[in-house]
Amino acid sequence: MSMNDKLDRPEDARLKQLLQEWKTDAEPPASFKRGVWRKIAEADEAERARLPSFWEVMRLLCDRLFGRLAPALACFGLLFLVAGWLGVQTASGKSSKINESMAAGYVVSVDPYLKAFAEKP
Amino acid sequence: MRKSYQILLLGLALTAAVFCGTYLAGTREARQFSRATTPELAWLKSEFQLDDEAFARVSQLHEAYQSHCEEICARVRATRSELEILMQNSKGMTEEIERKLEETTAPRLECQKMMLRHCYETSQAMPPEQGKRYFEWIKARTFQEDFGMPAR
Repeated sequence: MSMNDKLDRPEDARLKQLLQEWKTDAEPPASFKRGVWRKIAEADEAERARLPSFWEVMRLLCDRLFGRLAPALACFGLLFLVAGWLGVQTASGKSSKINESMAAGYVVSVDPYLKAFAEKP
Repeated sequence: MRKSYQILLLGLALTAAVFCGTYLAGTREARQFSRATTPELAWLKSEFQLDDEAFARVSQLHEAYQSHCEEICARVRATRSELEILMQNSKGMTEEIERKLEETTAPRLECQKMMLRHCYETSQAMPPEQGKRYFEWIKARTFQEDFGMPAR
């Protein structure tokens, strides 16, 4: 509900009329405008000086990077490359371990001495 | 939800899919070994690139060898545990312990002869190049001078 709606109520009609008729001859002090602009400048300065929160930075970054197609594609292209490389590296490490364990398993299966100690009853 | 967040989530999901895809593709062969009936033979086939015919020969030799191998293995275990009991019940070196120690060397010698014979047979069952590589590999793993002890 707006201020005008409130003043449209019948009980406020008199107040509305008074406000429309109200005039003042008093001049604001000479420093009034300067003071207002100084306060605005101080508020701006304070806003600039305040460190943005983590989530604000993330939101801004997200908007900048993924709000448009080209940066988003570049970013994900890079991410896919890194993910693919990591996948290959991890798989290579895992495969080496499995291969080594299979090789050891084969050696144990042909060497009765190793088998005797590997499979203690 | 904002459009940029939706794109970010989609991109992250695709990134995870790329990682999983490359990982699964990279470990596919190794994971297949674990599912095989004899994983070590499945590995041998892959490592030495054996065709089905050579693999059948190698598998047959391996299977035939296993019963002898188990027999020697049981003897090694038996002599070792007898020796252990003797050592536990004795406060010093006895003739009985000496005799048992000598007995433990017999299966070792027999084991090495039998194993070496099997390794030669297996290498001959493979194509020449692979057989040579197999023999070098198994020799390094089982007939090391230091018996696998780490170097000082």
